[in-house]
Amino acid sequence: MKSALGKVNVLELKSRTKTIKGGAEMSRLTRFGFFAAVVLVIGMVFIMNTQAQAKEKQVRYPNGDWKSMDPAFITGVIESYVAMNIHAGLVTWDYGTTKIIPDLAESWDVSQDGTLYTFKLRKGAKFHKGFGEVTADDVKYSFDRILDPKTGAYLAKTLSMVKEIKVVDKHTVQFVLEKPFAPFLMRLTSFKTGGIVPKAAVEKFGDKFGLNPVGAGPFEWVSGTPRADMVLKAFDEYYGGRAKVDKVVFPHIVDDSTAYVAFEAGNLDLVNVQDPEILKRYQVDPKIEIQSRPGLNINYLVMNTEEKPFSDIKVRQAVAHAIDKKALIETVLKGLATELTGPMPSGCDFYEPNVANYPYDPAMAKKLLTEAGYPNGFETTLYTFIWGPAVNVVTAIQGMLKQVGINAKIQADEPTANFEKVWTGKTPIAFFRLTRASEPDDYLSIQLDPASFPQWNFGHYKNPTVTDLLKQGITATTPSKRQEIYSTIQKTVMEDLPNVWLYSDNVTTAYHKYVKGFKLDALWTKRMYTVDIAE
Amino acid sequence: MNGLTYLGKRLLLFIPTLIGVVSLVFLILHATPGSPATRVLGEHATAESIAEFEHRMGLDRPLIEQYVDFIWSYARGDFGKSYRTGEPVLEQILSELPYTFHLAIAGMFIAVLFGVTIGIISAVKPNSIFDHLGRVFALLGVSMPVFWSGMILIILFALNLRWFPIIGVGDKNDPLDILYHLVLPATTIGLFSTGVIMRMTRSSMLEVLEQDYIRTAFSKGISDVRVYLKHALRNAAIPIVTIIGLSFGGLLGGAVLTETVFARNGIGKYLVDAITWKDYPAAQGCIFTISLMFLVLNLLTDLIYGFLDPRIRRE
Repeated sequence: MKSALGKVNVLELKSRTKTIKGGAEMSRLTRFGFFAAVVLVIGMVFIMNTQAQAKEKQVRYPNGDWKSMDPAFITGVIESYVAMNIHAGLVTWDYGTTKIIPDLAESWDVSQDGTLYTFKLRKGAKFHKGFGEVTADDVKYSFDRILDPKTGAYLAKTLSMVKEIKVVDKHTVQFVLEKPFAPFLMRLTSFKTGGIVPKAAVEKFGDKFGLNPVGAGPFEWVSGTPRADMVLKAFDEYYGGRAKVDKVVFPHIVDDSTAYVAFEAGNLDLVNVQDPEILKRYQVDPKIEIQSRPGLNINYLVMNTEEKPFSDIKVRQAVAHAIDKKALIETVLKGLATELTGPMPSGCDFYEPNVANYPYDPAMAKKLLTEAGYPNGFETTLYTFIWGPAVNVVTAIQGMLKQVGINAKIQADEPTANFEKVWTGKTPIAFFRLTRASEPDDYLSIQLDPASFPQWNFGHYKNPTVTDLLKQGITATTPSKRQEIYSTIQKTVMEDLPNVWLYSDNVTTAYHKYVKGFKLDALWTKRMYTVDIAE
Repeated sequence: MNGLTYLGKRLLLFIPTLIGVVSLVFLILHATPGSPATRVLGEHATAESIAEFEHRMGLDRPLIEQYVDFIWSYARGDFGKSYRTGEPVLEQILSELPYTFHLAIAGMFIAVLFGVTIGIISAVKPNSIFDHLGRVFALLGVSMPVFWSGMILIILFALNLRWFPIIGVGDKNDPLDILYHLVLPATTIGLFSTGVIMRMTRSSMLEVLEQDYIRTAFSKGISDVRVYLKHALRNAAIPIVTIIGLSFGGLLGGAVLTETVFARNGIGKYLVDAITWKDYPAAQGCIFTISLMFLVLNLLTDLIYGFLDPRIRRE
């Protein structure tokens, strides 16, 4: 080898003239460097592994973006999932269910006319961080604060039926309602606005209370920001007894793939599963347990009942008959969903199973379209948001509609843009999704009451009988009366068929076998009080 | 041109560059469909609450008025408040930056350590097995996208071997734990730069090793190590330093994906969240900050280049 200058290449020279010492030095250095690197890496791994072993019992369950843990500003489900660990309300849901049970209130009475609720508080229930005992004054403060327009609480409207809150004595508080409101107790859980907070803490933290929440729940706040891991620790003085785990960490993970891999690597103890392929793997893994159940949510098609062609009921019925829900659930959703029979999921209170049915029947669909004056079908645009399996579902529906002659172009937008389009009330047919608790009015009013347009009921459904029944439903004072009302509503609506209700996503959580006591509820809350970690 | 003048001119050039970048981002964000109000308020948004939000955030003003206000507030160092959380954006960026710096510095450390070392050895033993392996390694490093190499490292070292954690930044009170959580993401982000630095080191060293003064050094009986590291590397350093400086800027960009894959805090993840939530002030603040860091790094690289090479200083 020669250099550009024609001189002898220095490396050749080196190989001919290098001293034994120099050559040996280089070899020794190379070898030393190599082995030092190997020892360093192995040592680091060993030390880090030892360091990384948990010194206390902790449970790790990923969560997504959140904004605030202040009950006045909890609106999204991501916040709600974890809020019930920090905050306690007057009532709560039994673990694993959405059945109302006492929380900070050990008992309550409701007046005959349904407008006066009297709550007896537990004696000795404490707030976190030394903010004292929970008293009736704290309850009054918490709700007055939500209702005060100056606070700007996002969900103040959900408590608009409250006329006044009265402190009777230190452990007795009364809520006076403008008129009876049957789902009132549901509004008092700490899932959203019902968390009781101490005035001193709100005043101490001011605007930052949402990032330094103080409540009376089983876990107290340690640290967290909207983009960082949220860390809670067991509240030693929790009225129900200290939790079994010392610490709860909600790592901030927005990417599902990262969450699954972290779970499999043992960096997480529980994970929500929405991918059927991942679920299949976990189902055959002996070290992983799974709980799954129909969720409290609905996925449905909203049709514009004011404009042709969907203003014709036969067209809407044709759409219902054209869609094979079973195939949709099996092939697109791979079994991670449950078929809907009506406007609310089966886990809802006062669910009515005996309603008009529209089985998959393409021949019937074509017949109905012909009777409606569309023997050759028609063209339309099917709107959807881009999230989860929505686009895949809508693509499958497009194929099914095509079979009966309805040529639907898909208009898919990111959620915000999609909402703004459907809220105009001009979309002919749109795929939509709704998540609520188990109160029927929460599903039905927004879908069926004309007053809820434009944010909801953008299909312009109007049936005065149903509208009237909705008003009766929330003021009825006995369960049997409510059942009667909501059964009638569900039957009527399934006859009118403004929407085609397709399926509820199942809620599925996988966890390692060493996680004990976890109870999955239909709202997918991440309540960790019952959880223990086996050694 | 003396040093100060040069520095002054370069700093002045920052201004139009940054204005161009943030203006483009401003226009793109405002051109995307969907209102931030709808995104932030979610399904509980009503026409009234949307209008109130947009009025409060100044989004109902003409676009040109919003733009002028935006440029003027940046000139005063005010990045505005997050639409989503209401927190001052600058404060948030400053709290996230250290994590990105940790990641970028750790990534650069790995890239320099392995890139320079492998490059030197490859140059010293050209066309050997080590050289071939080194070049293949470099090629893989520059070919693999960050999200893919991140996943491979996760599967191998976290999932199968269980040597390292996948997510998080570690206990901030425990430096060892922080380092532990840095290994995989730093390796991911450093892989591309390792390849680039290795190739530059190799070619620069090969060129220098052919020089007469190196032959003279060997002839004088100076040890190989001293010749390679003191004489050869020093003279080969200029292009290597340049590429290191340029790579550092690239690492900051790579942080966006790496922080998301590894669920780490940092300005990259903050930017992704901001765009997802249509949080215009946060997105604009992040992009401004990343652009500024990139410009500063380029300037520092040029200054170091001048320091190392007296010929450049004289120019």
